Amino acid sequence: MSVDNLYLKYLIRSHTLLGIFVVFIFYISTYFGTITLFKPYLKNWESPSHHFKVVENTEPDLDKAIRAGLKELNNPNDRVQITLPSFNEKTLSIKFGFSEKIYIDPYTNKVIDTKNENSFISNFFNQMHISLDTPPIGQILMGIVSISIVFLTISGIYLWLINRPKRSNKKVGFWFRWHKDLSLLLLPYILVFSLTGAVLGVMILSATPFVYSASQGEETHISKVVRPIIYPRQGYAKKSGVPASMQKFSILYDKAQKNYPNLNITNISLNSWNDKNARIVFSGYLDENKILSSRANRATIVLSGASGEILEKKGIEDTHIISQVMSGFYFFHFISDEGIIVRLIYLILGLVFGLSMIFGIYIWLEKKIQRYGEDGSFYKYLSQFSTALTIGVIPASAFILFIYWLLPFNYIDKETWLKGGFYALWCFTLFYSVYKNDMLSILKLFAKLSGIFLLLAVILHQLRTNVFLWDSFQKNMDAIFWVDTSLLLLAIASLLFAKNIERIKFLQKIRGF
Amino acid sequence: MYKKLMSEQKSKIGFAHGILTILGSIVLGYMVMMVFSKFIPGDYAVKIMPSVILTPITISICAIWLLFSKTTFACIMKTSIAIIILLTILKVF
Repeated sequence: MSVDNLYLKYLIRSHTLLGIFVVFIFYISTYFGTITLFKPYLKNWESPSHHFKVVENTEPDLDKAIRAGLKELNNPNDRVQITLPSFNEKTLSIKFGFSEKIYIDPYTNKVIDTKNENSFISNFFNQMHISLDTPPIGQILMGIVSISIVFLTISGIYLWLINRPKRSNKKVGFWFRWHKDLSLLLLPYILVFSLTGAVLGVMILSATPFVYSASQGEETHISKVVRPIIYPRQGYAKKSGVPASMQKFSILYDKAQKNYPNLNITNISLNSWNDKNARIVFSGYLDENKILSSRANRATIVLSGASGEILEKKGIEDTHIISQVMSGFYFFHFISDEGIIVRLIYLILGLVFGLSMIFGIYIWLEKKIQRYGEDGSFYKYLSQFSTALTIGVIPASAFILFIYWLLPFNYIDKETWLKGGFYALWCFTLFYSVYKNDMLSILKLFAKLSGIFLLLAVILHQLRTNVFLWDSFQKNMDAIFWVDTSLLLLAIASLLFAKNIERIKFLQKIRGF
Repeated sequence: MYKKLMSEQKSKIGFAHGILTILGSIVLGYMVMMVFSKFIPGDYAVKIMPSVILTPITISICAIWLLFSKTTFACIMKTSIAIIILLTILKVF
């Protein structure tokens, strides 16, 4: 493939400039997104009320558990959503419309007291991933940045194709080689996340021109015309006004499972309950096709609440082609039905992508610092800024885990203190980067701080909840045990890294930044 | 100014060229997918959702196409002609 030399220069410049502008924001999103992969486990870890003994091979008593939840919500009859216990969430939860969720211990069937608990850590990390904690502006910004990443990916592939024959005999720099190789290796991962990010961040909000064009100028709202097609309302029935006694939940559940054996039921919804027309909808994913039956396209079976008669059964073959496309599209972003193995693979991919982005910045910085030498103080500051932003966020995140367990749960404005602590420490990392001006010393302190905060977070978590590592292991509290163990191992790894930083040869390469 | 517009050829992307490429690619990327939404047979979901998903790619391709202009004038011409053609398709058919 050949292209005019001037065009090649333009392409390289646009790839570099746009990259410098957007890479920091996308790095932050990737960093918090990678943590968010473990949201279900982190949510258990940060909620003392979820620290209960897990009894192996015990099915929850649906009748007792759901009744207890409904009673707590003042027995609503419509729009009741029940989430069943799963491998990553051990509780059964019930909500009605937009109400707060009620959590039930599936082994005792009692309502769990979640007072003063609001899953702050997992929600905050998720918000940072979605919108840099500044919705809705941050969300739109993230969408625009995702579109820019699509451009960087396409232009990157184009540059690689153009330069491939030329570079085969040419020696290339360390940062360039790794940025190129890692990015090409992660191409499907980058495209999936940049496209889903663009759609969720900005494209759905700005779909009016397509709706206008498709409807010949008659409609402008995407949700009005598309939602009823791809997310048809299921199990809806108008109330007859005739009260009726309902079948037991356990009987209805068994019937649904018997008639749809390969359906992994994750959710139940109740409509027009205690009425003659009552409907109960069991929905979930299919083991043989998790991609097409993800959150956007659940397989369902609808039963009559009064008679238990099967009214509707919908597999993925009955759904709209776009529902299936969206299901696959969202599956690769959210991996909501996947266990720890897939999440760990995504973690590795996320870390590698983060490194690829940092290497991309270093290609540019190295060139500039070499070119301007002592006069290049602007680039030196930019290097320190990028260090604080990309590496400094790690001790800041560890600090939030530590102060979460340090501050009392009923402490007034706890959220403000937690967020304040996080941002203050992040700012401190920038101050220290500029003050110290030596990359290895900066990394050493950041690693030390991360290790200490993580260690303190684990210790305080165990002291505050009275669930020690051996307790969580003995009582089968998998999520609690593994989060504590992982954080402990991370803390030890950080401290060891800080101790031996001078001996790591690779890090000598970044000394000049 | 006229001379600059017509004969600018430099290794750096000029400010006007850069801004035109960004804005032009967004407008063209959306318009291309509007044409797609208008003519693809099917219900609203089939007409609209592929456009929602694929527009970031069309924006990127349009951006590279506009970037590959030796002068700002060439960039303006490419954008204008493409907009006129796409508008005609959207309005007439």
